[in-house]
Amino acid sequence: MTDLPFEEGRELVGRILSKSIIEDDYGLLAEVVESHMSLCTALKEKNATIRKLQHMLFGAPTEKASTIIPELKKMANPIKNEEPTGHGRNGASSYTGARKETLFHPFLKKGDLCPECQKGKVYMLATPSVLVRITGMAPLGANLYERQQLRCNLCGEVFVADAPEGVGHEKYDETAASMVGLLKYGAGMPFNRI
Amino acid sequence: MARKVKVSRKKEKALLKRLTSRTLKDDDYALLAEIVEESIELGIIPAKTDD
Repeated sequence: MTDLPFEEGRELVGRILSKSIIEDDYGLLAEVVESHMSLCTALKEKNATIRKLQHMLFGAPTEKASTIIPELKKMANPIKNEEPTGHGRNGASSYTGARKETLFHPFLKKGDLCPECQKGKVYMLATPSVLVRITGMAPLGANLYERQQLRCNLCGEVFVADAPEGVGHEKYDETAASMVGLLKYGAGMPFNRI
Repeated sequence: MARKVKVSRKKEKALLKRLTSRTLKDDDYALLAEIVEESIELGIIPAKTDD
């Protein structure tokens, strides 16, 4: 393959026709005839695919982005060979924040006679049978503490019952504030609907 | 693709040989001009314009 401006190509043809080929032309002409030969042979054999012709005309496409920047290939397929196994559903152990409740058998305990065969004794299995039940709930919850008030009929002093421990002094605690932020700016809910 | 230049591989090889040995015959020039023109058309010699 040779880069030759259009005008020079026409001039070369002109020099050939006028039989006044200069010394520099011989190498170029040899190259052109050789390329022409190989291209015509490929066409004659009818085996030249588009890719073969492309390879023949423009050379091997070695300059790929992935060869220049090797990290690019890894970035494109980061976990191609490390696909996660399993069915994708969460097991009971995944619900780390769930409220746990232990349920005892209503009439059986360790060492009792088996009610089925009436011969053996039942024993405790190491792992309980776990049920997962997921329920929806409101994003914000409120507790109302109705404190009893007592007033002296003589001096007028009012005595209010103490608030339970851990209630705090703020009306909205940190979790409520973060949830309001999420609802407003994450879910786009207007303040008057919260 | 329809070819304009109809020349056998044998003749082309002989032409190439004469070309490298700088011993072209009178008949070779016309054929050579046709090959160069067709090569420009096929893009074997990319015909670049300056615009």
